[in-house]
Order: sequence, then C-alpha cells, then structure tokens
Amino acid sequence: MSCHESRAGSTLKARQKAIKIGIIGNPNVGKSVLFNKLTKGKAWVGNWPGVTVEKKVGKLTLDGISFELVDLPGIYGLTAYSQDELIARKFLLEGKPEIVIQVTNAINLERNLYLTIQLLEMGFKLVIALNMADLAEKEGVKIDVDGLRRELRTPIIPTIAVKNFGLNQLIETIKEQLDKPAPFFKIDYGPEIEEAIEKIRRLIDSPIRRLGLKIDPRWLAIRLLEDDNDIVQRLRDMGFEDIVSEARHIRDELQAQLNESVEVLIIEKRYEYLLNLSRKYVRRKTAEKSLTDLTDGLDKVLTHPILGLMVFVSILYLLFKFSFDVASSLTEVIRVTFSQHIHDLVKNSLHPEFISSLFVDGVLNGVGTILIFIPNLLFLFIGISTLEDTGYMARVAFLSDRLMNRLGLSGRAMIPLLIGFGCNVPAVMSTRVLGSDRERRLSVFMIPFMSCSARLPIFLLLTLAFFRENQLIVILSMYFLGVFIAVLTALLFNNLFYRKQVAGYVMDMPPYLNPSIRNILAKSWERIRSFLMKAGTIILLMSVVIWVLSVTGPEGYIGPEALRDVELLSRSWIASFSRFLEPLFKPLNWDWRIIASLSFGFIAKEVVVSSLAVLYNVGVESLPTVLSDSLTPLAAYSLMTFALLYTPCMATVATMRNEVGLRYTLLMVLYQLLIAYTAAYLILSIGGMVI
Amino acid sequence: MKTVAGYGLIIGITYISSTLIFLIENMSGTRLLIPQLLPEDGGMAFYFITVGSLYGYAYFKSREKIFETVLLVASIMSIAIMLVQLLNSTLNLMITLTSNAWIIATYNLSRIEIILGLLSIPLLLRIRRDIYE
Repeated sequence: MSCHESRAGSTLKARQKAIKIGIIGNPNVGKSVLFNKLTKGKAWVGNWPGVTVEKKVGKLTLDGISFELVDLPGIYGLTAYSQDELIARKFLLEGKPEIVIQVTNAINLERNLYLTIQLLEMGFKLVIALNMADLAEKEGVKIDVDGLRRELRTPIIPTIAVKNFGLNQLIETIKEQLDKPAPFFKIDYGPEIEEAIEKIRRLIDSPIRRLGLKIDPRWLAIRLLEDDNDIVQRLRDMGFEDIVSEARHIRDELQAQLNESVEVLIIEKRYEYLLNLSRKYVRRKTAEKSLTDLTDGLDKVLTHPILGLMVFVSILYLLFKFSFDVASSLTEVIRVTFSQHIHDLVKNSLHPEFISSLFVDGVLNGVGTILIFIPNLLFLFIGISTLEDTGYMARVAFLSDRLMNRLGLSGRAMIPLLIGFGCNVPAVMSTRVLGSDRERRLSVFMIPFMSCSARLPIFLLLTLAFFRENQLIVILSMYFLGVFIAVLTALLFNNLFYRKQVAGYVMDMPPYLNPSIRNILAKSWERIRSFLMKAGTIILLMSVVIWVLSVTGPEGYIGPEALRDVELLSRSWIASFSRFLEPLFKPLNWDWRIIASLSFGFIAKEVVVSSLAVLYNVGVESLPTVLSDSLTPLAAYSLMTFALLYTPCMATVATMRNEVGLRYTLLMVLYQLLIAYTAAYLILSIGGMVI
Repeated sequence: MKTVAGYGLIIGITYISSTLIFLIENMSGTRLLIPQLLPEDGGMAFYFITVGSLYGYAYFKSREKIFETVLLVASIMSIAIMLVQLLNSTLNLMITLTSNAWIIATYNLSRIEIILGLLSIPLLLRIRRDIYE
C-alpha cells in the first residue's frame, strides 16, 4: 500500500459517521442487485422496471469504515415529473450523499448518460458502475471506457453485479474518491443561454453560500431557466421569492429573444452533447445472431395481441399448477408431521392444563395451520421470481397497455396489480412509479381486489373441504373474480371522478435473460421469510388473543374446557362480539365463529384460517371436515367471495392512507365491505335458485 | 428447416386434436379416448391449444426468421408442463410408496403432456443451437 493510500485510509477510519452513498440509475439496470451484493441486504430484485419504489438503506463495513448505502428508485432523469423522480431528487438534495454511484446498463449506455450528465451538473462526486459488461460484449458493444472517463472526469468501473465482478474495484474507487473534490463539468448551452445562466447564477450564488447549502448554483440556475416547479417552490420556501421573480424575468426575455421554449432548447443541447459522446466512445458491431435479435424475435410472439395473451394465460395456469398440484404432496407431509407428532408431543409434555391448552389450542393450532401452506407459497414465489428474472413481466405490462387504457390507466399500472397477487402492501407502494395522481389512485383502488398470497390459505382450506375434485379451477375462479371486480371498480371510479385521456408512457424492455437460480431462491426465501415473520409475530399474538377471548367472557374466566364445549364457548367474549354482529350477517347464514374469524382477518388475512382452527377447536387435519359439516358448498363459495373482496388487512389500509390520503382510504374500505357483502349475498341467493 | 417445422407441426396437431377430443367428450358426455391422452381440465386444455397454435404458427412462419423464436417458445412451454407433471408424479410416488404406487406412477408417467414434452426436447436443442451459434 502506498503512503497516500494509507493516509487516505486512516482519514476514512477517523470518520465518526457512516459515509452516505446513493445508488441511482435508470430502471432495470441492476441497482437492486448491486445494492444487495454490496450490503448483503434484502432489497427487492427483479428484471422489470419499477421494483424499487422507495429508497432502501443498507450498511456496509469495510476495513473498519462504515458506509450507508441508499438504493433509489429507477429513473431516467432528474426533472421530477414522476413520484419516483421526486423521491430520488429529494434524497440527492436533502440526504447529502458524499458520493453517488450511478449504475448504468452497458448495452444501452447512451440512454443512461442523460442521467449521468444531470448528476454531474448537480455537482456530485460520481462513480459510474458500467453494469452488464458481459452482455454488452456479447452484443458487440465496445465502449472506450478510458476515453469516456477522461471526458466526464469521472471514474467508470465495468461490473457484472450478478457475478460479483468489479465490485471490489468499485468499493476501492469509492474510497479513493471520498477525499477528492467533485469534478467540474459543464455543457455549453450556447452564448444566449449561457449568458442567462450566468446572470441567474450570480443572483443565487451568495445567498446559497450564506446558507451553507451544498447545491451547485449553476445547476440551480439551469433548473430555474427550465422552470422547475419543485426548485421554484424550494427557493420560495427559503424566502428567495425575489430571485425566483428575477429568474422568471430573465427566462421570459430569453424566450422572446430566441422565439422558442428555453426548456426545449436546453434539452436539445443535452441530447446533442450526448450524441457526440456516444459517437466518440461507443461502438456497435452488428452481430448476425445477437441477444437483441433473440429478444426482438421473442417479443414478436410474447407481445403478439392474440398469441401473447394466450401464452400469458397459459403461463398463469402453469404457475398455479406448479404451486398447487406439486406442493400438495409436500403439504400433506407437513400436515401429518405437525398436527400429529408435534401436537401430541407438546400436549403430553406440558402441565398444567391451562398452559398445555394455551400452547396446543392457541399457539400450535394457529401457527401450525399457517405453516402447512408454506410449500404452496414457496412454489408460487419460485415461479413468480423466475418470470421476473427472465424479463417476461415487462412484456406483460406492454401486453396489457391497450386493456389498461380502456380502464383509464397505462400498461405500467399492470406492474403494481401483478405485485398485488403476492402482497397488497408493496403493490400499493409501487403505484408511485405511475405518473399522475389520477392513475395512482385508480390503481390503489384496484389493488385490494387482487387476491394476495395471504388469502390463499382461506381458499385452500375451503376448497379442500368443499371442492376437492375441482380445487384448482375454483381457486382460479376467485382470482378471476377479483380481477373482474377490480376492472369494474376502475371503470366506475374513472367515470365518477375523472374523464381524462391517458397519456402513453415509455418503458424499457429489458433483454430476455436466463434466470439465476441463486437469485430466484434468494428472492423466494425473502418472500417466505417475511410471510413466516408475520406468522411468527402477528399470527402468534392473534392466536393467543383469540384463545384468551375464547376462555374468558363477560362472567369472567371460563377455562380451556370452553374450547371443547360449545355451550361454554358461547359464554366467551368472542361469542358475545360475534353475536352482536350476527343479525347483520344473517342473510349469509354464517356461524358466529366465521364472523369472528373474518373480523380478525382485518389484522392480517393469514389469521382467518388459524382463528377458525382455534374457534372450532380442531387440529389442522380436521378443520375441512368440521367446516363441511356446518356449511353448504354454495355457502362456502360465498364465504370465499367475501374473504376475497372485503377490507384488506390493516397493513394495506395503513399503506393506502399514506399513498392516497385518509378520505380515499375510508371510501375504499366502505366500498369494499359493501361490494363483498353484496357479492356474497348474490352468490348465495342466485346460486340457491339455480342449484 | 422444413423438416424441423414439419416435426413441430405434427406435435402441434397432436396438442390441438387432443384438446378437441377433450371438448367433444365434455360437451357430449361420451368417452372417446382414454383420459391419459387428453388434457386434465379446462385450464390444461387452454394450455394445449396455446402450445398447439404456437407450433402451427411456427410452421406457417418457417420461411421467416421469427420461426425460430416461435418454436423456441412452443418447445419451452411444452417441456415446462412436462416437467411440472413429472415433478408432481415423482412427489406423489414418494408419498404413496407404501401402496401399489408403482402402478399409479407408471400410469401417470404415460400422460400425453409428458410424452409430447419429451418429443419437444430435440426441437428445443436444435433451435437453441441455431439461435446461439
């Protein structure tokens, strides 16, 4: 190690606070993969745009130096047109990262460089990770890395994040850059615009220095010339109204002088600069057989309006077949092991009866019922992760653009809806990738009808009890019913609240890639882990709460016998509460225990099945039999419909409140309850007439 | 290429014929063929029609470059459903090993989607070679 290096190292070690680093880039360039590799963290990774919807933070400690890495949403520029661009820019302006890593896609470097020059104009110390270097080489893309490095005065490191290639060099470069000043970067916008930039820069230079803000005044001046609403507002909030007015005046004068929009001229100059940069440093060999050829060819089939749709429906069927049929035998193994062996072991080894009952009737029945669904969910997640990694999900969004347009949405809205099949919470959060508030609200209204994985155990249980022969078809019908109601909701709300045309959108189509088994397994494990965490925390707690509410009542302590004696159970708190609601659900012919379980489902949908097990006081294997004695198949289907459509879990409701506000959330909660009740009643009454 | 396209077309026709017989059986309530040679349910029938159509489409596009990628999708889908059924049968065999499971296992291994999936493997290998080399 040289003398300079060791000195730099000791300076770094002397820092008390973690060094903040932002990871930024276009959608689908591998930011989340790089973030995960560097932090060994748990960010969501997928080969489709819009996966990272909020900034994620991870830690990295190397040679005693702490780094705080922030994974930002995928963006094309810093113009703050969409929510994710705003989030990214807010972090850059307020989070004060010491260094920004821009992850770029080496295959389409030209497209990524627009963001690069914006970051350099902002005055950041930048390190560029030239990711997917292997694929670019295969594609015949030759990049003069040294030349580009000199031109941009910025370090560029070729990386292959999925294979850990270049990551050590990237970290070393970051360490080296910390003690260096930010590079001076300037695009020549032509004499007239430059003169205007200089005038505004002089206006804001000293107030900014006075306030000690680390914002490049030239960049601010350019943004003011581009009439950036966010920047204008920020300056107004800081009390610089006079500067804003003066800048507007300069801008208007310039516009009159040039007889053209200044914003358009600035963007044109940037693209001109980019074009020259690309011509000088990026060369493309036209290979006869290339990844682009294959991707284009596959797209002709997979985005074909008829064949593409048929393939999509077939893939969905295959996915569900994989996760239900294949997992069913494994579920059987877990069911027997858990409900017989572990159940008996705990029952015989714990005393007195109060404790034994708490563990066997409360904890084991509750958590055990959830655990048996792990194989189903694992296979489902493996399938979804595989589709994400191949790049197929982006095609699904493209394919659905026309359909989504009819609902007043763009094809991009399909992504949050598909995420909704896994969990409604990240789905609601991912609506931030959508451009307008209108689109975001409409998507948020649709998402709760997408049957999330937590509702699956309810369907599995009821189909096992009533539709054993046609389990797959009945469950699929639930998914289609959810989609149908979501479509109706979008049409209704779009007509009621909005009557606007949807603008088209630009979406990156990632090349088709062979999925990485490691990535698929890691992602599936992460999803299962979060499911288990829920089972281990909320459900465990809820199971115990249900048990307590079942063994106590208005008259006081009843005892564990209540769980074996319906007469005693009917004196419990839980029976009192459910009986209070019973008249409301009389038309649906539901037992008070079903009402109680569905009420607990508001806390987490996973709880519905486990609370049924506790309230009926049966083991996992007997629950379908007990239910089949107390319900008809039609009533079971009606119950499944209610469970599908009624208010989502409290985590989703809380997220909805954050995203669309309290008023819309309350409206949605009431609307869903109404829809669920009506649909369940219609199925029961119309079905009763037909059958 | 004509031979490859023709081979694919035969597999495609088998998929479609099998689905049509399944539909006729369902609508008329009669039994024309043993269930092993027909799709399992409505969802599988749709899957069969899709794969069959893709093989047919590939044949009609066999003079164009797109032919290779259509065939690639068709053979991948054909092999995917075969693998899912194979996995299903193997797991079931393991679970029911104590009974006369070998009869059930052999019976399940003779399902049409497994046979057609196996027949699609050489096509996938051929097309992969053409695309990547």
